[in-house]
Amino acid sequence: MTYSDFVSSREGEWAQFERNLAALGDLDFDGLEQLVVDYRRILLDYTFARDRFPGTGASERLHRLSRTSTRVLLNQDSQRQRGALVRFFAHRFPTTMRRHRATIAVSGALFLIAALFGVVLALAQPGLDQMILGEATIEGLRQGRMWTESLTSTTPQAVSSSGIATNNVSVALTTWIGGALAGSLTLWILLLNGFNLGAVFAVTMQYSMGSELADFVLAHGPLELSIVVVASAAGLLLMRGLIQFSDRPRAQMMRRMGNDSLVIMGGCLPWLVPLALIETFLSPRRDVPVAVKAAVGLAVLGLFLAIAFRRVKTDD
Amino acid sequence: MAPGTMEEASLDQSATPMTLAVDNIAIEQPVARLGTRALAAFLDYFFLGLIEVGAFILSGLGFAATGAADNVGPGWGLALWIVLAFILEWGYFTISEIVGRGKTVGKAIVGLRVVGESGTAAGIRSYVLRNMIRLPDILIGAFLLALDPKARRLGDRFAGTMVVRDRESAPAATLSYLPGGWGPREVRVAETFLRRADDMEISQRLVLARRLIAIGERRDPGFFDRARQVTSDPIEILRLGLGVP
Repeated sequence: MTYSDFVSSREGEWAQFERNLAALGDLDFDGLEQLVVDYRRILLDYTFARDRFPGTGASERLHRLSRTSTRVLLNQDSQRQRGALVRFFAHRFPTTMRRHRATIAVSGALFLIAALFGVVLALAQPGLDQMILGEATIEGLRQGRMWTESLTSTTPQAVSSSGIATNNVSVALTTWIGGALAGSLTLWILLLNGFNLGAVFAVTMQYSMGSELADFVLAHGPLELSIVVVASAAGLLLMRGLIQFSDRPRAQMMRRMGNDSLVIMGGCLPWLVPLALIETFLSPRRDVPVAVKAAVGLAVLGLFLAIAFRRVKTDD
Repeated sequence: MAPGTMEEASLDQSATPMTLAVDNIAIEQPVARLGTRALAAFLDYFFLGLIEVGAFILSGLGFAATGAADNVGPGWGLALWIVLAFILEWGYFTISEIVGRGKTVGKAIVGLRVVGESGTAAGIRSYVLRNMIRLPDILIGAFLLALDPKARRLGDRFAGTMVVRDRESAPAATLSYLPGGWGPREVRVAETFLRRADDMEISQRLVLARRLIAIGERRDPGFFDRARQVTSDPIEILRLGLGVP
């Protein structure tokens, strides 16, 4: 077949395909079906032109048409369906969390070990309290004042809650994406948070202010720390995608772990918004009994765990 | 068979990466390399900076002019700005690529688009993942991009995406009639000339057109006679004779 025969016999269909592709939204079912059939023909014409008439105008036109139509007609992800959000929290999120519970457990264990280390070091090293909390805070503790009091007395609650929410989300996101650096940043943030928590508790206990600190953190602390642990686990999944030995190709491992870690973060991040409201409007209040704060803290944590680790029935 | 990718066996970075469409048909993908990616990123960060400064000024003026902040409560203006700044900082690239179907402002200016690794449209999950993993790429992204045949940074690898050149170019000229003895090489030369003729200097344009006519009539005498009856312009003779619209 000569070039001119090829062009003259097929050019009409190429032009028609271009028109149909441009008017994709207006096509009825038959039109869409025809488009898909023509798409395959375009691809075949492209391979023929590329092999027989490389570098020609027809080859370039078919190349551009092949790329454009592949992008327009095929989507990497499945199409959105109604109730996708409900199905995400009811099925996808808990399934993914349960599949990676070992990694979450490792993250939790590392956090606890770091916290324990912080407690031991704070008790053993007298000068550590000033390094962690600063001289002004330590002086306040000596006078029986918590540093948390200034958070709400000087800052409007609207600013406080938005600042806390955005800060927590930023920390969670940074902890997660730090896993892409072979887990280095994730582990640093996880261990540092654990160490600080243990050390701060140990220091406040030394100044007999442990109950005041517990009073402040009980409402929001359990869930917030849990999300730090889970976000770190999501980061460790990215790390696994990069370095874990597997019979799967590396690219496939990275995509799989990336998608799973995104699902985990997608299920966790929304909780940080009500958490910020609790931390702003409930935690600092001295008039609310500790038992109420503890009940709220355990309730939100229980709700999160019930959703996150719900056993999902799968069809056989 | 579902669309997939074809791993490059060669270390030749100049080879155009290929992806597999339906029926395992390989399509060349014009991936965007480090230079154009960096330019697009620079333009995006510049545009983001303008948005943040503009939003800050407008929100401040708005609250001052309307007194809304005093009406709704202390600190709400600043609270809203904190949330807006956070959304801009973390969400600009993601939201832009979702809305623009793979294009941000910078990418649109430079003529780039984010697509799936097999050339398909990328999904929302992919846009979110590749843009969340942007911070580590500040450290190592350029290095990875330069080494990868598909010019993917770390975020692209996790999300299964790549960035391709997607600028609309002038339609390629296609010849409908050929003088006897013309093969693909002659066709390429003629089509390329006709596509670029308008950008050439006029004397050079006429010389090349006359040369092509002579080459065509060397093996097929009189091929362009009918076109000569319509016009005397060598370029138009070439177009009419070769059947280029």
